[in-house]
Amino acid sequence: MEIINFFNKLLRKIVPHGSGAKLVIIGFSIVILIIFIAIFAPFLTSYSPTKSVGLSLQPPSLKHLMGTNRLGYDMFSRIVYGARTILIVVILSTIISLSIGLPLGLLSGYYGGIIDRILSIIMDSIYAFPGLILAIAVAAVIGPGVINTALAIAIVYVPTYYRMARGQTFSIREQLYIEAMKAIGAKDRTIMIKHILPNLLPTMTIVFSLSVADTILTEASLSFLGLGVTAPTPDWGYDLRAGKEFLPAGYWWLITFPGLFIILLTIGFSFIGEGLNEILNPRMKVRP
Amino acid sequence: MVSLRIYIATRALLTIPTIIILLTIVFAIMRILPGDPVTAIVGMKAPPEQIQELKKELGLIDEFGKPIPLYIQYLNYFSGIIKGDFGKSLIWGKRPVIIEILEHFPATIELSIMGFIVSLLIGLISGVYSAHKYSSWMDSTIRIYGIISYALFIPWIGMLFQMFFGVQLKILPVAGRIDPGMEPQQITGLFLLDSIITSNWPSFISSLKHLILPSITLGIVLSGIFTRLTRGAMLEVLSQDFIIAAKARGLPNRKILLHALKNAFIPILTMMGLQFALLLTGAILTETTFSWPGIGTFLMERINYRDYTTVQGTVVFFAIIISLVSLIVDLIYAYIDPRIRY
Amino acid sequence: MEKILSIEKLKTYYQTLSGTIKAVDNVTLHVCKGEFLGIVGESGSGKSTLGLSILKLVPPPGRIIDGKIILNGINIIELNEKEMQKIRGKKIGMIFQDPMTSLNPLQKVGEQLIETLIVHEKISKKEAKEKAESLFEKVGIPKERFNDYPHQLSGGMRQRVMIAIAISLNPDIIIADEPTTALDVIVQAHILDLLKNLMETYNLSIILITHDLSIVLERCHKVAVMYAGNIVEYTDIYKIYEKPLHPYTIGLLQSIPNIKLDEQKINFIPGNPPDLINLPKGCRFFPRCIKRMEKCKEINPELIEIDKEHFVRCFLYE
Repeated sequence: MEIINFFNKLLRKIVPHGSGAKLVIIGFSIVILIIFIAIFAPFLTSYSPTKSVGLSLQPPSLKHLMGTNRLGYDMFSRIVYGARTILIVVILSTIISLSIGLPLGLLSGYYGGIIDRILSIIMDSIYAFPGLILAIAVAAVIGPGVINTALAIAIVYVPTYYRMARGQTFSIREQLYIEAMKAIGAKDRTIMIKHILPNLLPTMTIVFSLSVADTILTEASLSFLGLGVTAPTPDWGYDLRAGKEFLPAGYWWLITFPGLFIILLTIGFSFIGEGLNEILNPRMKVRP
Repeated sequence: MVSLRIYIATRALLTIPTIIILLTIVFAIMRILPGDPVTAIVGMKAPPEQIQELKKELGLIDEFGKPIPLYIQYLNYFSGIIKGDFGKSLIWGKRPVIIEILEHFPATIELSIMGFIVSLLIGLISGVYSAHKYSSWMDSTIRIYGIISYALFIPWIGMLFQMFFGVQLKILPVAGRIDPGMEPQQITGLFLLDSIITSNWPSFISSLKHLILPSITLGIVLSGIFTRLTRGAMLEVLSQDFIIAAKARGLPNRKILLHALKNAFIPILTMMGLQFALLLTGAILTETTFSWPGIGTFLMERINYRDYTTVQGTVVFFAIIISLVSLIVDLIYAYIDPRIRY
Repeated sequence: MEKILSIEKLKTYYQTLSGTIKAVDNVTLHVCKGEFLGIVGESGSGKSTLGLSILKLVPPPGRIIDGKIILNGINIIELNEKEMQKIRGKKIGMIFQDPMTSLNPLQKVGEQLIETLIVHEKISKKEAKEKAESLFEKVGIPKERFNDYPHQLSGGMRQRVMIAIAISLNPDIIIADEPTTALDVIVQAHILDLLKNLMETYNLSIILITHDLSIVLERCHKVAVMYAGNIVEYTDIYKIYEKPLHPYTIGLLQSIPNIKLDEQKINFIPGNPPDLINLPKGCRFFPRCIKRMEKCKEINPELIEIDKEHFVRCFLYE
């Protein structure tokens, strides 16, 4: 009991108070949990997500915690390995989007001029267009698969990171004395990397978390629509699609668990993003 | 302060480059990205005449068999769209794509409107209530709802509703737009409206029953943003002096909240317009879940059939519609905004 | 004299994260029928909170902690929100400082009055409209203004609207919280005259909350001087003018400029009012008092009756 009290007090000193912090902690825990599940998948289940165990369409039991699907695959292992799939796609696509969007936004915000004008209007146009439809169009052309899905999704979020980087660069430029730095002889590249980039980080983390949440939904949507990863890769969105036709017959476990995990992971990242937003951009306390 | 007319003109003009860029991107996606559409459609072992024929259809080669350069393909594409020619379907009688789109669009509109109404109702009521009970646990719960609602994956929520109301309780239909054979006379294409106009009550009821689950699904997922917005705007207004003055006159809570809501409405109004893009996205997922015969199902079906011209035409259609709606919303907002009014 | 409103040992505190703000700390006073009471204090003295407390409209994190507020024999502290809503507007009327922000910007001014009438009385909209129009006339608002929006009226006109709303249901008492601070001096005089006339015509009681002692001396019957949450002196205006007791009151009187003198130094009381979260142990006026004693540092004096109906909170008189 006393040890618990001690840790509580320690935690209170390190962790800031308030609803924002609570959200971040909960969100972070969820995300870490799922990453943990993904990494340690082989230890969590002995079944393979792509090999039949013999009995199909079995309801949840002690042997198969989440039942089996039409092809006899153990659903629990599909959930657990599915975590890998979605995390891989999400990480891949986010890396691609970031590598394109962030530098372009930085350069655009830093140099301004006609390049900025052109880039801005292109990015704004894409941004205004519904992401899922864009991803659908790309996926329809380049075909399904893990890498292809990541590419299709990546295109959707490039403008998001571009706009964030550009906007932040603009406002940071106002604050730093760029002229003075140049006078001392600092090179553009140094200024951008050493001074502007670090200041982007706070807003970056918020935009990142919220975009990842959105990415997860986009990936699940693509797979649900049949344009994402191919069978038999374990994927939560794909399982939703596969389980749909068995709904009228009452095979609830085929879709309940995959959907639940999609939502859970999305909520995890949403909480992190929203929580960070509350911490970094506190709203004025408005008392009615 | 720019005059209203100048604003309308500039804003309308700005739509044009946006549309051009979007259409170019669609073209780029369809023509430049890797993935040979021809093989995808007819397979590797198709006879050469069939391939030639297909290539002509896709606009890749002219009637003499010579390949058309990319930039000319691009110009053809644009001039076609301006003329209203969104291409012809590659399957089933080669109907013009635009006709097929317009046949399926009303179903999507009906679903979108109902979904929007549901999301607005949920959002406004929960937002007002949340602001009224500021800092209570109810307020916190509603705030969390505001964050979570968009994360509720539409297919999953839809399927849960289907399982519960359709399979378990058997009181609501889970698929389709109306019971077979009950379609009302087509006037607007919106079944609810058409059945009211023609006083076809059985049709109205059937249509309504089919709309309930999909609209609620779509509405719940999109309501979160309205909840947060309403709550924020209400809190702002409720802290203003005239609210305390109104309370001092003994006005009951209902009236005070109503007055506050009217004052809070403008930011909510702006958001409504921005939601259109999300509505369409949500509609596609909802349609696929509920087998709703709208443009979302149509698009997915054609993708399955490798009907690339239709897919291209549909995406182009989306791009244009969204740009136009966004324009209209901006103009309406500029009209309502008090800065321009006073 | 019949007591309309009796406040006994009222305590209204704000519980904030930085501490407890004792805005109204043990306030006792009363208002009789037909009486015009002025409550004078600097900003931060708690006078506005006192006004809001009477209506039980203190915004959170403020709360009435203790005390009684007896209106016509009923202790309204014990009433619930629904019962209070019946009293607000009908038995107690309130006029706020800034009429621009106190009126609903999206509602016509006539409408706001009609709404108030309909909420409290079972009359038709038509009757309410007639009544509203005659009220507007009584307070001096031209008929054409009935359907105007608040921003279309001048400051003085808006305040008249507020007054019309406040008296519309024949309340027993009206609380006017700095009604003229946002107005220029001439309009100020008109509004105050209007209030006094209405008071005499309808036999109302009025509590005027203000920082300006001079207007209280001109028109009120009684005055209560408030400092840092306490009432420090409470009597009628003649006694306070001729025989002010509390050093703060004396300082206030001295700082009123005299138009009759050609040249005068501006007198003011040096120092600042105390922070209501960290109140000193003893008398709250101690740091600024020229007549202070050792005793004053340790204990806060009680409010005692020195003369007939002349109360003061000061060790000089114990």
